[in-house]
Parts: sequence; C-alpha cells; structure tokens
Amino acid sequence: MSFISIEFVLLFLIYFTLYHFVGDKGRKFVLLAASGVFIGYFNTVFLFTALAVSLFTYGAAILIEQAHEKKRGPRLIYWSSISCLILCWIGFRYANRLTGATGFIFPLGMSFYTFQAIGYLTEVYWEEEKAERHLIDLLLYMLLFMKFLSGPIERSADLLPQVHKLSPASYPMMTYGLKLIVVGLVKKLLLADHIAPYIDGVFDSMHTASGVQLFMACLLYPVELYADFSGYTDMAIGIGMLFGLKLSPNFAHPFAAQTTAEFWRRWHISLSSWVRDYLFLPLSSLTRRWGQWGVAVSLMVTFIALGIWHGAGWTFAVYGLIQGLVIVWELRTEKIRNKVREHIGKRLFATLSVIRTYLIFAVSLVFFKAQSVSDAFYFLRNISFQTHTSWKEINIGMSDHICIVAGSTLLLILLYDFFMSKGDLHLRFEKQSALVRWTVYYLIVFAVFAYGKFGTEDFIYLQF
Amino acid sequence: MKNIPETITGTNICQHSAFLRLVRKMMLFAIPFWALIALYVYDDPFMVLRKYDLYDSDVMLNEHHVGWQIYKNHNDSVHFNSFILGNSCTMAFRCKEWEKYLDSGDRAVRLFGNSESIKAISLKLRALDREGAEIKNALIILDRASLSHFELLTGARNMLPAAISGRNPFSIQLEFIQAFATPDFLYPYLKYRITGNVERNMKRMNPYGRIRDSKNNDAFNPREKQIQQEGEAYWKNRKKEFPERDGIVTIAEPAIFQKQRMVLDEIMEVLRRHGTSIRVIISPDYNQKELHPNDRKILQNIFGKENVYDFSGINEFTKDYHNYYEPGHYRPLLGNKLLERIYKDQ
Amino acid sequence: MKTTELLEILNGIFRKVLKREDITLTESTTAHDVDGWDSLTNMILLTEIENKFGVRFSFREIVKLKNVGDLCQTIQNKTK
Repeated sequence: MSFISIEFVLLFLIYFTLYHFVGDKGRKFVLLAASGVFIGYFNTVFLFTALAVSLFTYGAAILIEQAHEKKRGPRLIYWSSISCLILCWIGFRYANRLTGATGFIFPLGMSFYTFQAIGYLTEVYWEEEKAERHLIDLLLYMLLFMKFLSGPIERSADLLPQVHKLSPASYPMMTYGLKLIVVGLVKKLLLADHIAPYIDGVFDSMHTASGVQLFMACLLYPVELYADFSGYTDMAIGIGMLFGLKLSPNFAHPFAAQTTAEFWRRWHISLSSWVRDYLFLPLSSLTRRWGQWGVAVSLMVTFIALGIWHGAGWTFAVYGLIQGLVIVWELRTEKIRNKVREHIGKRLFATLSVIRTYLIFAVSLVFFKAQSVSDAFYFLRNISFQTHTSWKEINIGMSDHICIVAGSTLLLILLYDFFMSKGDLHLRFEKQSALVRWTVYYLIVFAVFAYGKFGTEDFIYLQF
Repeated sequence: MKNIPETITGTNICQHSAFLRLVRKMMLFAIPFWALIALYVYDDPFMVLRKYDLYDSDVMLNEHHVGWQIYKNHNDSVHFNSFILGNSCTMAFRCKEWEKYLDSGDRAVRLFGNSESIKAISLKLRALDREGAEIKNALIILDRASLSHFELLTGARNMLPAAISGRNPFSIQLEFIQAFATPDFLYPYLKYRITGNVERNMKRMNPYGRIRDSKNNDAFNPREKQIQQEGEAYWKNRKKEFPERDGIVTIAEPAIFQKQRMVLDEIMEVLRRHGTSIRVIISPDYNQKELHPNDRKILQNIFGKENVYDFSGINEFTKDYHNYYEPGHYRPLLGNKLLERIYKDQ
Repeated sequence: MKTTELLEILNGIFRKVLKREDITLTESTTAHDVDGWDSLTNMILLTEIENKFGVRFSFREIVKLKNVGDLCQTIQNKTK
C-alpha cells in the first residue's frame, strides 16, 4: 500500500494508537506487526523474501562475531554471506531476463533492505558494531514499514540503538513529524504528480515530439524526480518521528550544489554515503598507491555500481558512468576552475556552476529514464529549440492551470529548501503566534486538498 | 534537522498525554473540514451522491452523469433505442424532431458531453451494450476537436461516471469533493448559499434555471429566448462574437491519426454488432473551416460513405448567421434542416 | 615525536594536497571543519602522510580515524 491511500491511513491510525496503549515490550511487536501487514499487503511473497533475508543476516552477523572471538575464518564467513546476499538480489533483479517469464516481479524494497543488511554485516565484520542478539530488534531494523519501500537506507549504528529502547515521541516531535508529512504531500501531490504524466508523455513519444518538447522534458525531469523522491522521504521521516524514531535525511538542498561531487553529497544521501563508506573507501584504500588514478578508478567503479543498483540494464550503468566521469573530470580541473572563479567573481561563478551541475544531472537522467541507451541518445541528439507548429509546445501539453500550480509549488519548495539550509524553518515557525501558524496550516492543507493531484499513488523509487 | 526536540523518555503517563494532546489538536484542526464535508453531503451540489428525479440545479452539473441518470431513470418505462451522442452541438437536435424520421415507437435520448471525446462516445456505447440496451439508431455529432480527442477529458465536469468508465466509484467521488473544495468553486458557492442568488460572473454556476428536458435531456438554450426578445438586434449587438467571414476556403489540419482511428473502430464495432442505423454529422462551423479531406475519407471508410455528413466549410447552412447562438453553437432551427437533409433520401 | 611537531608537518601536507593556505589543524579537527577534505581527497592525503612518515595504515585503522587527534595517535604508535 502506498503512503497516499486510505488503506495506509487506516493501518497507520490503528497501529499508531496501539503503539501508545501498550507497554515497553509491546511496542516492538506493534511496529513489527504493522510492518508485516504493510509488506504482506502488497504480496505475501515480498514478506517472505524480506523475512528470509533478515533471518539470514541475523545468523550471519552472529557467526561472524563468533568467528572473530575464536579468530577463525571471519573473512570467509563474511565474504560468503555478502556474496549470498548479492547473488540473491541480482538473481531477483535479472530473473525476468534469465527465465524469460514476464510475470516475475522484483520484491519491493529489496534493494534497500539488502543494502542495509550488507552495511550491517560489514560493520560487524570490521568490529565497529556488535552483532544484534535480539531477533525482533534486527527484524525492525530491516523491515520498519516507513522506510521499507524506498529508504532511507539506515545504518545499524543509527537505527539499532533507537530500536533497542523504543519510546513514544514527545509532542513537539510528533507535530514536527506531521509537518514533514505535509511538506512531502505538497511535493508529491502539488508538483510531482501534476507534471509527471506530461514528462512521461514526451519520453513515451520521443520520436514524434518536437525538439523544444524534448528540451523541456529533459529540464523538468530532475524536478519531478526530486519532488517525488524527496516527498516520499519527507513522509517516511515524518512517519518515523510520529513513532519517536529519527531516520536519516536523504536530501539537502541538492540543486544548490556547485559541483557534481557536491551534488552527490546532497542527493539521495543515504545511498551515496553507503556506497562511499562500503565501496569507495575500501576500493580507494586498496588502490591508493596509484595516487590520482586510484581515486579515479574507485570512483568509476563506485558510481557504476550506484547506477546499477537502480536496476538491470545498460541505461542505469551509463547513468552511473556519467556521474563518475564528471566527478573525475572535476577533480582534474579544480585548478582551472579556481582561476575562472577569480577571474569572473565568486557570485557569477557560483551561479554558473549551479546551472552547469543541474544540466549535467538532467542529461544523465535521460539515461535513467529512457527505455534503452539508443533511445537516450536519440533523445539527446534531438533536443533543440525547434517546434512543430508553435511556441506553445514549450508547455509539453500542460494546461495553464497545471503550469501555475506546479510552478508556484516549485518556487515554494525551493524557498523552503533554501531557508531549511539556513536553519530549521519549522523550529523558527514554532515561535510565531498561534493565529499565524494555524492560518498557514489551513492554507497549506487546503491547497493540497484543492489543487493536489490524487489518484496516482506510485512513487518513482518504488521500482528500485 | 539537527535540533529536533529529543524524545521524552519519561513515564508512561507523560507519553500518553503527548498522544492525547495530539489527538485533541487534530480534532480541533479538522473542524472546518468536517463542516465543509457536512455541507457537501447535505447539499450534494453536483447531484452525484444521491439519485434525483429532476436534474435541474443552480450549479453546472457533469453532463455525462446527468445524461446517464436521465437514461436510467426513464429507461424502464420508455425503453430508449435511439441515442444522440457527441459534443454540445447536440443541443441543436431535439429528440422529438429526430423521432419523426425514425420508425414509430423508436425513442431517443441525448447522451452528450461538453467538447466530447470520441473515447467517451465509445465508452458510452459499450456501457449501453452492457446494460442490454438495443442500439437501433445513433446520431453522432462531431467536430474536429472531438475527433482529435482519443483520450478522456479529466476534471469534475468532464469525467465519466463510474458506470460508464468502469473506474473506481470512490475515486470519482473524491474528485467531485475536490472540485467542491477548489476555491474557484467554493467561494462563489458559499456566497450563493448565503445570499441565495446566482450571479452572472460566478464560475461553474448556472444562472439560467432549467436548461434541459428531464425526460430525454433535450437542451433548452436560454439564448433562444433572448433571440426572440431582441430579434435581429441579437446579432447586431454581438458583432464581436460574429466576425465577418472572408469567403475563402480554409482547410483544417488533419485530426485523425492511428490512435483516433482505433477509437473510431471501437465505436463501429459496437454499432455493427447492434446493426445500428448510423448518422455521423460534422457540425456546420460558423468559421467555415473545412474538415480535412483525409479525415472525411477515414470516417466514410469506417462508418460507411452514405452515413457520414460533413457540413463544415462554406455552404448554405454556414452562410446564414441567423442559425447561430454564437460561433460555437447552432440553433435547433439549423438542426432541423440538417435532419431533413440527412433523411431526405429515405 | 611530539604532537605539536606532528601537527605542523600534517599542516604542510594538507596545505599542499588541498591547495589551500588557510588550513590550521588541531587535534579535534575533523574532515567536516576543513574545506576540501572529503572522501575524494582523503586517500591522497593518507598516501602522502604514509610516504612522509614511512608507515602504512591498514584499512581498519583508516576506518577508525575520527579526527586529526586519532591520526596523530596512529602515526605516533607506528613510528615509536
């Protein structure tokens, strides 16, 4: 069930109430039951796969720890269990292609919880973390429903201690969570869902669309993806806060990034920091004798892996490849860029850098979104300012109403992100008088209700 | 997000109170919304929550819904077997006039939609088919815009009722509530509820009172009355609405492509099964823009050459401005002439 | 070697690798405090440090480094 559905609201209300009426021990079971129902509601097979992977991880961690104590073969156990997890994940990913059966569905959330499992096992193997002995705690770490579908990919060091002593949230934490949920709804319903059908339309009919339509779709897709995915994440974190849990942030004002390297410290942070810690650092440590080249090779491997994480197919590999290439190029050209900055002034340089970073990301997303690499190349080759009949095509079919709603929402979101990066807007807002606060609440809720696009409940990152 | 207030790890009583406080606040916060929903349910402004005998309202209703309800209300007693389908120009074709040209006992009803898409026509025919209706005669009124729409229109005023589209009725009701909550509608509506008057500038409200026949959904255009009162001055005073035509033949861009064709085939599939007597009319357009010959040819191929009547372009019907309410709509006066023309050979 | 001396040498390496003159390290400095010290430059810094002191860090040691103080400690342990 999606966050934006009657079923989910019901599930949430029931378990949220229960959560506050059971004792300390009961809370874990309430959350676990909620997660079980949430996952099983999609498909019981998804629940079984997730449980199997969790149980496997639970056992493997304990075995690794014991092997460490006895100083006998932790490396072997670690590498074989990691291989099992990855093989299992790849197996599901490619099952469609290997067997040729089309009815096979990739289990929802698997990419996310498999990565959590690998991270946790690695921490145990590095002896940074103790293996979790309470099965229910580890299950919660793996399966918590608010982060199950599309992350954030949590670290065991962050989430397990919270799971150990679950306690209901304080009142300020709950209201904070509610506000985050509303922010997420605004992003999703007032922006992403409004523009999505038109961008999809251009991508679906790229061979008949005009150059300027391709151009607009390419420019707008990052906005859609951001509104969709960060909207989902806001909701996940908000729901977590209602249960007294603090989940990791996933986005930090990404479109303000001046370089692609910086962009990836702000975009899908829980994934990018995961690949940084568990893939890039070991790799670059291994290759550090090669100096700059070692970094470059590690970067390429890391980002191609990050691309492939999104799905089977060359398109995602190219998407990752582009990120890696750009970052390597940025490392090599730092001197020149510093000179340019001195020459044209800080302000202008920052503005141009932000635009450049956005455009590179937009172009790479064409590979992310297109069905095949050749489609993506066709798309990029045909971007132009040419129209079929008139300049009106620039709205890619969106009505004025949609342009106004989505445009003003985008502006609001960018402002919100900007102020959030300068200090917590929500906490400052708390200091306003009750009249101001409630007026704003009513305006926002009413805007969502009146102008939101309901009916499409799927989030983009659900497929990964 | 660094400064988020910490979780209070206090006693159970303390935790309980936070939860109850939240519940209390939420209840308080929701009062205006409950009030609005209560008003909506009580008023049912779009007449979609309950069934009615008469579909007259001070609010602009969803014509698909109204047409379908009128059909359902009377079908048991009347047994409709003839259907006027198409866009708002169907207003020029009165059911009683049409029945004159049909076999005795044939009864007609108008199931139209504003700027109707051919997809909607296809779905309506299928819904009739599912209902077990006999589709003996069909009069389909189209123009270029309708032909080009192969997808359904959206929005509360244009979406099809669940019985026709097969969509989830719940999500359709939700869209109606949403339309109610849109400030464009809600504020004028609340004003109307307080004063009891429909003002001319109120969007999505109907200041004209009765605009349709409750038995067969025939249109009563309030402009007909204005024309009677004003006479020739009706057109003289509206020179802006009726620009001079230059008498040069212009041909519209083609409208029918692969996807439109598929929908037209869907329509024909149902009609063929019922052995329906078909008349497809391309409306006489005041601007005298002619339908593209390729489009006409496709229509003739699908529906039969003798069943397609294209009145667009420059001809005796479009020449006389007296035939028009405004450039977009023509009068039953002209509709009657067209009926006479298309049934002349019988 | 004393920590202050060590910091002085590290300062030099950091300034050279990161190409910034305004770097002054203390024991409590973390990557967060220094512009340009990120995961991309980290390994290059460490390689320079390894070469300078003729030591070699294991990967596990690298993972455990949390600030400049930890780094000094590790170097001191190795060069004893």
